[in-house]
Amino acid sequence: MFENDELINELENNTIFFWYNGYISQEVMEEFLSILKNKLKIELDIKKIKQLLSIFIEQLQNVINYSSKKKKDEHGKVRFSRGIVCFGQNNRDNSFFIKCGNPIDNEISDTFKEYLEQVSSMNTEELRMFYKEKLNNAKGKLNISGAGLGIIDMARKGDKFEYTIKEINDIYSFYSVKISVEHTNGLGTTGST
Amino acid sequence: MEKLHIEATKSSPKIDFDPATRILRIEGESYPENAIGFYKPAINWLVDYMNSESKPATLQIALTYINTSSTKALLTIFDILDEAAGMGTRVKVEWFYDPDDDILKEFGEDISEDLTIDFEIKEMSL
Repeated sequence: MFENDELINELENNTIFFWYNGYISQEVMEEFLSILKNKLKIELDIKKIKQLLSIFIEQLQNVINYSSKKKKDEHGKVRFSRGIVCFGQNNRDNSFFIKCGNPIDNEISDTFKEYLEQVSSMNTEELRMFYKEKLNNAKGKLNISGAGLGIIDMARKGDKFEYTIKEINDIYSFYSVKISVEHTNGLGTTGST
Repeated sequence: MEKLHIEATKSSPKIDFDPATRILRIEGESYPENAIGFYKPAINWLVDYMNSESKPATLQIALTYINTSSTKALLTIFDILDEAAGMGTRVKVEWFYDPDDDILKEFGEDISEDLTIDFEIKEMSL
């Protein structure tokens, strides 16, 4: 996910409160949510926590659904998907960020990149319309999954949307998305605490 | 028809569909891993109800969080109601939101924009 110097940069510029690298499942995600809720409620209001955790859920569920590296439990029931998640706060402006990454097959990476580029270039209203369009297209198609929608949703809920796709070898690439959320104090006004 | 009752879990809502009171209630948080799988029994029940009863029904949605795949499932449910309304059944949706939660309020407004069924957005202490 990071080159060595990028990683050092990340660690120096940010306060990381949660980092996980491994297999993720719905249950694992639910445990993470518990941990984060308990930590965040010390300093933040419910609204901000909800905003952050809803981004977190969409990100992780995308990893669970779309990571190209998956395995099942011994009953073949639970899905475990390889990914990385990082939740932290920027030391300079106190904004929060949630960054998630997972391997993807090279055969989808070009189309996916186009889609990400499209989403990252849209403003609030464009994102709202695009979301509605995608939602209506999915109507009645119960077997179509929601990766597209989830990405638009996280872009709408956050204040900044960044992504990278790095080719690892001729089979797969590594995809990561970072959503930043401005910090507001518990009373709902922006500013440093 | 039998009632439909599904217990809430950490990531999925309680579902209480009662053909006697004609109140169909979905309450809690909705972010199950497989939303379509989760809502399928409710969707099937609704289709059966609309085909057999044609009595009025009120769908009450009191959700405090809805992930994107649940949103799609809800839209499928609204479509079923829309179709029933088109055939003369009196159906309505009551969308509840916590007074502090303008995200869920806006969500209700957005999702109901293009619907023809009776859709009421109501404040409630959840």
